[in-house]
Parts: sequence; C-alpha cells; structure tokens
Amino acid sequence: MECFEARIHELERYRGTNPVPADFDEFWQGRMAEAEAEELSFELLPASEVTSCPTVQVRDLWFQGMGGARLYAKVLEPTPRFAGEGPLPLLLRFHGYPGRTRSWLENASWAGLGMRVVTMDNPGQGGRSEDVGGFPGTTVSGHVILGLEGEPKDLYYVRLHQDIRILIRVLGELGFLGEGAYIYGDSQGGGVGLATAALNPDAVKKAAILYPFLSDFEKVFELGADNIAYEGMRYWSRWFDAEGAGAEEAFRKLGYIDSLSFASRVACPVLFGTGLSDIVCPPETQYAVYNALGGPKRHLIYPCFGHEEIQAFDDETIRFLQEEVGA
Amino acid sequence: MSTGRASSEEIRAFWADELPKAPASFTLGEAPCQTRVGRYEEVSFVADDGQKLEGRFIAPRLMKPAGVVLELHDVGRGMRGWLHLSRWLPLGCAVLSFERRSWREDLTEGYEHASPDPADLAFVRQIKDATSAFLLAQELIPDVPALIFGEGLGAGLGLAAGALGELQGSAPAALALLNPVPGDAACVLSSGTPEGPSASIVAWARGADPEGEGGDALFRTLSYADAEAFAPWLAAPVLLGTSLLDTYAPPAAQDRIASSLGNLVCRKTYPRWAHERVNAFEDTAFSFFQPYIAF
Repeated sequence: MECFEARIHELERYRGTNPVPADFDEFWQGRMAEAEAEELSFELLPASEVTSCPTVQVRDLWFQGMGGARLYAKVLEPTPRFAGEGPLPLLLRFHGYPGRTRSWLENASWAGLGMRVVTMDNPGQGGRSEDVGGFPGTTVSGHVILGLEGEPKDLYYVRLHQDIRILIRVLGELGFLGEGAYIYGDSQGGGVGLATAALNPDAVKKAAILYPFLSDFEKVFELGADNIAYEGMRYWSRWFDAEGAGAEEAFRKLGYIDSLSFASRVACPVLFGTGLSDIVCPPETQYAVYNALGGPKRHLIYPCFGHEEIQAFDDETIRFLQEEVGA
Repeated sequence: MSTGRASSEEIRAFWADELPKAPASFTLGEAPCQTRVGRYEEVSFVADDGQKLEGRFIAPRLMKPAGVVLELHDVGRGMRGWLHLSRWLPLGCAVLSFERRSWREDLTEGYEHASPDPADLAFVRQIKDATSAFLLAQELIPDVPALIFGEGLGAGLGLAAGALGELQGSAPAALALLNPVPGDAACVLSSGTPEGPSASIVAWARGADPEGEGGDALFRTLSYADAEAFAPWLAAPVLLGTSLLDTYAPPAAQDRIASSLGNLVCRKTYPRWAHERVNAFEDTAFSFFQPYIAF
C-alpha cells in the first residue's frame, strides 16, 4: 500500500536506540556456562490435562531449572500412524506475556505439520513453571524489570534464558534435538525465541518470529509505549526513579536482555512478522531488531494489523518450516 | 424468561420444509501450502440458492482419516487459517471450514414485521449454508464419524447444522460448542445490553418498536433460528462451554440451551472469561472428541 511506503522506508533505516553492552558476549558466555554446569534432572510423564490417542502422544515434561526451580513444558508427538516412521523435526514454541503455553489443541497445529512440539511455561507467569524468586528489588512491576535493582545477571530474563539452555540440554538427552530445532515465537515468545537462537546456535535451525517483545527498551520509553506489555518500565521509573537519573543505567542493564542485542548474533534463517498498527510492541523497535539480524532473513509487513493473531503470517510459517522438513 | 417462542413442533416442522441439502456441486484444488503429512485443498461448493462458497479442507496424507471435523468460526473474523486448522490432523481427522456468505451480523435482517416469516431471515440462510457444509464434510470423507467444533456464532451454527444433519440421517458423532450465539432473544435482552449479533435486536427495537409493543412477534420469529431451537432434537453428545462474563452469549441464554439439549455430556463454565477463546475449553475438547473418533 502506497500510503505506508514513506513510513516503511523510514523504519527500514532505523538501527535501534538501546545500547548494546560492550561485554555482551562475555556476559552470556558466563551465564550459559552456569546453565551448562547445572545437573540435569527431568521426567517425562503422561499428560495430566489431556489424553493421548493412537495418532498423537501428549506428555508433561518436568525438569529442574536454575535455583532448583521445577519447570514445565508440554510435549506433543505425532505417532508413526499419523506422521510415518522416522525422526520427527522439533519445534520449540515460546509464548506471549504474561501468559502460558497455549492449549494442547492449539499446539496440535504444529504436530499437524508432522513435528514434535515442546512448549515451555515461563516461570512465574500464567502456567505451571515455578519461579523460585530471589530477584533483588521490587517484584510488583512485572517481569521486564524484575531484578533490575541488582546486577544484570539478576534479571528475570537472564535466568529464563539459562532455563531454556537447560531445557535444550534435556531435549538432547531425550534424543529430541536431532539436527536442530525450529522455533516459533510471538510477542514475548518472539523476543525469547530470538535470544534462544542467538544463545544456542548449534541447536536452532530456523526461527519464525512475530512482533517480538523485549526489544529496544530505550526506544519504547522514548515513544511512551511503556504502558501495556512494557508497563513495568513505567512503574519502575515513577516509583524508583522519578527524576530519571537512573534511566541510563537501567537501559544499560536491560541491554543484556534486549532482542536488539541478541539480533546480530542470530545466524539461522529468520521469518519475521510486523503489524504496522502495533501499539504494544512499537514497529520501530521491531524494525531495529530485524535490521540487526545477522543471518538470512525475510520481513513480512502487515500494515493494518496490530498486536493480534495474524493468520497470514502463521500460514506463511508453514511453508517456511516445511522447506527443510520436506513436503 | 421468554415470551412468544414458537413451539418445538412448529420449529421442527418449519425446518423439515426448509431442510438444507448437501451442495449440488463442489470442486477441490490444491492449496499453495502442502506438507509431508497433510493434504491441503481449497474447496468451492454451491449452496442450494446458487451462491458459491469457498472453504479450506485438509486431510491426513499418510493415513485414512479416522474422522472429519467441521470447524465453524465466530463473528468478527473470517475463516480460520491453514495453520490453525491443522490442529485436527494429529487427532487423525480431516477438517473442513468455510467462509460465510456476506451478512451484516444482524439477526433482524430480512424480518418483515407486517408478515413475519422465519424463512425471510438472512440468518436462516447462514444456518442452511453451515448445514450444507456439514453434509459436504461427510461426502468428502464418508463412513467416518463427523464432528462439529464451533465458537460463538460458529457454535450456534454448529448446533443447528448438527440437528439438521440428524433430521436427514446424517448425524454428527459429537459436538464441542463454546458460547453459542444467538440465544433466546428475550432472554438475551433481559440479561443486559448485548453485544455482537444480538445487539441488532436492540437496534431494531429502538428504531421500529421504541415502546416495546411488537417484540413478541420478533422474538417468536427469531426463535425458529436461535441455538435453543435445535437443542431439543439434537441427540448427538455435546460438550458445551460457557464463559460467565460473556455479553454476546449471556450465560442465562446458554443455560436455556444446556437444559434443552438431549445429550449434554459435559458442561464447563469459566467464571472470569468473556466472549473469547478459552484455553481450558480447547483442552477439554481435545480429550472429549477422542472416544468418538474411529481410530
């Protein structure tokens, strides 16, 4: 649509505002080493919420995360009767904020593509994964700023990415990883998915990312978009930094969990979707992330869509994921 | 509370005369996306008034389907996408969905107050199309259980399609229905200010009957086409989900549907959910359908 061209042209030139920490790579090498040092403990059980049937097996994966947290993931596996014999490609699905893994029926869509699906509940959000807490500072203002009063390693999302590394190790032990996983993530799941791809390059083949959250925090603040998903930033500023003296330091710390910082480290192919009417995760922040992506990439733009289900993107994802699975 | 509903016998006699049939013709064409395990096709079929309707059809590629699902979507949106519909494949089922013909989402569209006849209602046409689609699903995948899944308006249409299928020997094996729309008009109005298609009744009353003297005739006519009309003669097992904050399908109207159903196997209520998709309902439906699928 011609009426959007000028805006898109401007967005395509935008490279982000939030600073990328100088020691970003060193920081994350340390965090991943900590996650690698954790002893693995897990169990795969019949699903407690739904029943398996001859064409799909559904199971609960419980595993121990950082700090001894008891973490949960749904596992759906099409059986040979439906999907034929042979190894199943793995799809890791990451969910939005502040929710949980979606229903078994919804996740069955991915199993319907012939894939094994693993989707984890983020600790302390709407699902079954335990948050063992201990984050310095306020806990009332949401997960974006949880731990901001401490060191960057104390941030909620740092621990989450360590938990995901542990999950990937568990999936390797279970023999699910194969030649690498595919990722699908929207909103928070998009930000988390990008970080997962960046931090686990040998484990991720491709990523389909829709309107990622956790992106370009300083730009979010500048735009005044810290009032829906990013509302924790506004609470923290109003209550703990009323005059804004601490903002620069806050953005420096948030840079360690910013999708913008991870983006250039993502080497796998990425299919990326943006709704130009998005008021939850501003398009500027999404473009900054996309523009920084390091590997092969494709950006699908939906001018009249906001932060909502975008069927056209989901349908395009089928082709994107199938290219290597084989039709 | 309900005033002026047609009797169950009157409603059934009306629909026996207006019984929708399977489409006279249909075509299947390969969809742009295909997978190793699923065969994706675009379907066109012709309704009995000549209107061409478009849909999506997916079937397992490596196994004979153990069932076929008709999925019916809610108001305010179009037909669900390919990825969404793929959810039925790992349950061993093929799936059919279709784009509804253009409709203003106005339940009073076509109503003639001077000589009310339910056959004139535009919504009756929507019910006929849904029933035709249900019969088509059974033609596309014959000799397997046919299931119906619907949300909101899709649930109301699904209930109707299932009952009308039964009337002509093509009964569904089971139905999973969330927040069916529309309910009994008088009940919906007395439950508060409705949203969605039922809001059209309020709009009609404000324009054509501001003092509320003509409502009974309208309510009686609408009663031939609401979800409650079909509940008594639907013998197939039903999972019914109700959001207690729903203003499109007020719980009181859904309670009437529930108490009218001939075979309500499972009723779930969600105290703090509104007219929206409900994770917990989808989880229940996932297990609910399994005993009825011919694995």
